[in-house]
Amino acid sequence: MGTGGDRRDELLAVFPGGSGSHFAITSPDTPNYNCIAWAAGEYDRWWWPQPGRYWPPAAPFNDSLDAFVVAFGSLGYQPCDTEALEEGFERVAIFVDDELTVQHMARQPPNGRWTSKLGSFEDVEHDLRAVECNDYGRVARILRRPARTLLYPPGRVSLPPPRIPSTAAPDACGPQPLSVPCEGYGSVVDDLPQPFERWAESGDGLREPFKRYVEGVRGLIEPFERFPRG
Amino acid sequence: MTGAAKSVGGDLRGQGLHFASQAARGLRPKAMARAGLSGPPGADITMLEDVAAAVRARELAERRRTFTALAHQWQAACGHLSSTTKRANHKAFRAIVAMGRPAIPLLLEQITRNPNDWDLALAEITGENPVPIEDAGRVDKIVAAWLAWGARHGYRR
Repeated sequence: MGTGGDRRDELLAVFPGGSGSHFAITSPDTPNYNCIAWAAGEYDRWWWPQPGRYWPPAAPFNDSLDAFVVAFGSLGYQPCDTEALEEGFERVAIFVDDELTVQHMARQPPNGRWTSKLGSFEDVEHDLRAVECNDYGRVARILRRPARTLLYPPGRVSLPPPRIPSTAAPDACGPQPLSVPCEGYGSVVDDLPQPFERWAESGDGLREPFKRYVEGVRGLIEPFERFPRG
Repeated sequence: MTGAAKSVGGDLRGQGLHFASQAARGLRPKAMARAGLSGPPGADITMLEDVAAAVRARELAERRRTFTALAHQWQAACGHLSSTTKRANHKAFRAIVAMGRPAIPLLLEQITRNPNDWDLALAEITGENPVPIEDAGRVDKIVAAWLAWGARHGYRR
């Protein structure tokens, strides 16, 4: 794997549609989950209708568009007409190849960007059609549900190092998490506790993992709060 | 070493290391005696066993080279794919599955370093699935289940 910029260039070679548009790496690579899990708001198992991988029990066990619509219907998603951001809703997009076989999914969290997990590679934030390509095919269906997923899940937020006024260079952000600017991370971190607590209290079945994460985030944030921001 | 023993060694070298490997595994002291081989006790056996060990080491190294090349090829071609169907049908993945049971130790090594879909190759080769259904898709559980399977079947200590 290359460094941040090099790695982005490597990915853009696979996803040329990302050139000239927003295309930012937002996580390390990991085989722990794939784009389907990521679209579903999970980050710790690989989803696919195949023995050995997770698949919602209510959905047909094949990789057709209909099977994926049913699978995400079981999560509360319903087909909709537009990919534009709509307050209070989050969306997922299903990509199919020429044979209408599903190849990829992306999710639109409440900030309006689209986010994808690229196989066992990294997560990226992108314009929806930036990842359309031969391997992923094209967007075939948009689904939406009332917003409840988080912008970044547990373990995926890199906090900037603490600023120590008298010893560090005043403008230094320290090692940057790939191509995401420092400022963006500041706002993400600031926004985290409230939605996570909301999720944790929503009684959604994923309550316990997110409660654990809320506690983890608190543990991460508190040491940094001892240092002045900005 | 007697002339007969030299002759056997010469024949072995002439007919290839594979035959030498079989010979070293097959010949035991009584058989050597029946074949009229003599010399210091065990000398001929030692020579043949050395040849067999060298052959096995070479086969293993060659298998490992092939496996590593296929694994890299697969990772480069399929790393960005989420479709397990497509990943498991890639020609490099199929070639690894086609290596059969000799690939099992290499797959168990690989699954610890870079888990990906190697459990699917193991399942295909062995016809077994040690991963509980509730752990489907969970990489850490999948790896642990296959490593335990490897230990039970003598592939790992």
